[in-house]
Amino acid sequence: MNGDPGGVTIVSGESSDAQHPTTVVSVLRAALGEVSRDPALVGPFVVVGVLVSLADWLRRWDPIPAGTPGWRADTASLQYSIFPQGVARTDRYVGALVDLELAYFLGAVTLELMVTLAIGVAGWLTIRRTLDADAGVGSLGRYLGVFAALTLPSALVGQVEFTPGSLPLTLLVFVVAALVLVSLFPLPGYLAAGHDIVTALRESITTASGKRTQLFGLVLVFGLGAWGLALVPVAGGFLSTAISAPFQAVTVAVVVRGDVTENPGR
Amino acid sequence: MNRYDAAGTAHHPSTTGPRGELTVAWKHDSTDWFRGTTTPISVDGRLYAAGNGLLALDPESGERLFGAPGPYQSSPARASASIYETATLAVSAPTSVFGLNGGGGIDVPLVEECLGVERWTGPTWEPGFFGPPEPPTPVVADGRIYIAVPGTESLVALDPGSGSVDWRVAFDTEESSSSFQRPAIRDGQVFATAWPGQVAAYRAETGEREWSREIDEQMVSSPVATGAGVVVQTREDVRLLDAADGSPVWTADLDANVTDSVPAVAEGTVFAVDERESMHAVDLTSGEVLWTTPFVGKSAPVVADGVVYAVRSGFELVGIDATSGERLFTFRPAQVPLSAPIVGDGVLYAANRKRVIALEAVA
Repeated sequence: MNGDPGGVTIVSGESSDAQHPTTVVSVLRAALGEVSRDPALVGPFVVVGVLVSLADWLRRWDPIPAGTPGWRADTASLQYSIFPQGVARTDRYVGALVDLELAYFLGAVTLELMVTLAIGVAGWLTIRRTLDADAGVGSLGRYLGVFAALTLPSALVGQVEFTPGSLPLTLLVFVVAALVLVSLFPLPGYLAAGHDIVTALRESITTASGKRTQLFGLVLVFGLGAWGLALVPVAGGFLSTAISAPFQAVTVAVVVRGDVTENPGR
Repeated sequence: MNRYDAAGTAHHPSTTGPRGELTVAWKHDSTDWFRGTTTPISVDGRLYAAGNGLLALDPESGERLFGAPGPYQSSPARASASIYETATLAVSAPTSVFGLNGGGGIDVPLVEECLGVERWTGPTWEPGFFGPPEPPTPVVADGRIYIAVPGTESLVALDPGSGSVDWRVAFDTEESSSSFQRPAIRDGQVFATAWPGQVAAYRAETGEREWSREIDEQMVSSPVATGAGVVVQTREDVRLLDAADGSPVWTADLDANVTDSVPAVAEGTVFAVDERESMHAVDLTSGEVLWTTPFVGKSAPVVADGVVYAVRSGFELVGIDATSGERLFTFRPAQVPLSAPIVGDGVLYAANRKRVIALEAVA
């Protein structure tokens, strides 16, 4: 048990899991229950969904190069992000910004920063409200800082795509990637609850260690769900942001709170 | 750009090249990923060569200015992009067209890599049944990039800033089932050819088709746009077509067997190989054959200051006097293939498999 500087008490780690056996379905039911009780939880990401759609439109409209993400041509794709967010239907990498005339550069960077900032704030607000935490500006700063640190590299070099070369290597990469994603699944929740970065990271790994299978199932659900919703023409960016992202945020909070039982109506 | 200008003449009008025996002035072979087979370009004081990436070299010394590995294979073409401070280089790969930063992007210290070289990815296409097609060659004219798109069998005009398609045209399905060749642009017209014998002209501004002709031949080369009309080489001959309606002006039967060669046009003369045993000089106005000289192999010759520079099937560079047809020199590089050269201030530049070389006359 950890005392939370923001005032919320969080049960985490293996003891919580042992006391409250959970499954992917039960966690999702609990998250759905949270949203049913408090529909305002989806509010921030609905607003951000509109912004994501507007950004998609602007990227196509302005004269700066915009790309079509590779997942749109894939048979199936896991569009999972450790920090809750939707999936935009356009992208813009650093090469499109280098050596731009100043006015275009400022416009393009402002757009990307606004979208990133809005996604981060929406995630923090949603998790914080679900946890009923009283975390302050410091918590928001840490949340945004880690979010940016994880988001920026892919914005600079593009999404990581892995083409299997051999079966053992494929398995190795798959296992490592799955372990990392699962271990960091609760991380946004601990940051939004007010923990410092090191503590949040440690708690995240501890929480995940007892429920890796369950969390891996959630990674698949949200990764495939975001991808499926984003495939919807025109509205895909909005739908994945307004539906998948808030449910992931609430689910993170539910996992972090550690009070999930097989009875979602508790 | 490839073939020197948008019209595809391969005539360098304001520079001179070597006239005698050649020696290597410098070679750049220290970039291990480079595998170049297409002609480099010299622009903005830089020599750009593509082949498993993009290399920018100092034309004077061959020193590497920047390099970016990637799928880029075709000759680049430089285009100004109004929203950028540096030019865009259009270059194609086996399955896509790219817009690259001519300035090289941002240097990453210690690793000799550049960040942000790739500005945009343009039209893409699927590899065919027999594998990826030959990467098409981009052409730049009047602020636009024109390039064939294999697979879709179309020709597109692209915005250099964003890579977006301004217009796209295709031969009617029943007329052709093959990719466009390198287009030629002159005086607001885009001339295009496709196997087996399609020739057409489009308005450069809108893509509207002005005329289309079917030549009763088994092959037609990339067109060359001139003031007298459009020069095309077919399997057996060279023809001049009226730029206004595509009607034939003259035909010079060369008893050729051409499959991959492209003629050059300079100072009112067409220089074409027959892929049997000769190169021919043909008068652009009349179609009269002016001279014939021994030349075995495929070639896309270039011309500068009265010298025709032609690479025979990628392994030997030959210099021929443009007026008399006299052979001036031959040069065999240590590696093959050797790309068609470009000419600049007494020097020839070419991509040569794992290296880029500059050739000058022996002192």
